Amino acid sequence: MNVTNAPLVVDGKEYHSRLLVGTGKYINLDQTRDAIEASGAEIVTVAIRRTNIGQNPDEPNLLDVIKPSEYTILPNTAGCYSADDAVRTLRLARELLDGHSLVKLEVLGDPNTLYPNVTETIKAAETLVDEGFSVMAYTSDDPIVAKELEQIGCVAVMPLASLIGSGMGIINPWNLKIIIDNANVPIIIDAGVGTASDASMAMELGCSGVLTNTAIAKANDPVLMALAMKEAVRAGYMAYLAGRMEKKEYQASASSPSAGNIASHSN
Amino acid sequence: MKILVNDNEMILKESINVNELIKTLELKVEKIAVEINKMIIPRSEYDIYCMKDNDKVEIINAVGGG
Repeated sequence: MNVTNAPLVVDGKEYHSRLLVGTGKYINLDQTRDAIEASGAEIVTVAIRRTNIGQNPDEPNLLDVIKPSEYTILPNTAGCYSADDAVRTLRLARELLDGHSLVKLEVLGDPNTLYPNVTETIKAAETLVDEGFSVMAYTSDDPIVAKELEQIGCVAVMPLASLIGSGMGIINPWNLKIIIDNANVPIIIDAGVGTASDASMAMELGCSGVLTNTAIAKANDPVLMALAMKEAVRAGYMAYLAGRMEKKEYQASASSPSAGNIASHSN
Repeated sequence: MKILVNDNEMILKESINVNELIKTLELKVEKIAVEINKMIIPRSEYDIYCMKDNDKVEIINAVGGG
């Protein structure tokens, strides 16, 4: 096997794409489907919400275009501010998806910043792991919390690059590096990716994958950005495997040989 | 009898089971999950569970999210 095609392994299952995508903020379901197809992602997040009572029964459902038979659906707990609400949401999601147990846990702490509440996240993770869920946990870039989530039994830890939907990119690469270097489960960047280079940078740091939604959905051309993200994650992963050159801050090093340079004989 | 479905009041002439409620609301059973009084009702029990007065029913589905 070519090393650059090494699969991402989450909860014992192999995925050939290291890009995970969300399904929010698209203008319609056609655009959702087209962008997600273009991204090549195999793991796709969805939110769990009350059914609109009285809706047109023929109105297409998200799961009609993103079929559970074709994608690994990752239900999230977006909008939950307590461990209890998150656990309740994911129990419903498991019933909706016929016993599917891979879930994205996210417990928020503040409605303006959508910053994660890590104490409630840890509480919810403990309950969910006990109940047999395979938990991918969204968290801050705190290395101690990340390790704790791993020790609880989360199958992946997903620190933010920056605030959800901000597109601010990776604010604290050093913290992410500490998390990555100490991890025994996949570390997947979640939230804050703004464009392709952010995804590449995450992979170059050694992340196992990148989860993004807004950067694709809110691009002027979401399908083209989905393609860009796919390439960026792959390029970043290959660069990580290749190992970058050492940075030399004050010492230039010419790429061309100095021997035989006519300029040196012209004085 | 009166039940609440996603916070909407619904008056029933007689008790109906979950399947009948889903049919009345014109929902697709495979695209939803149902919770009554904070207890999940498994699909296998949709014929068994009959609505009681003041039941609080939550019906959820998957929507776009990140």
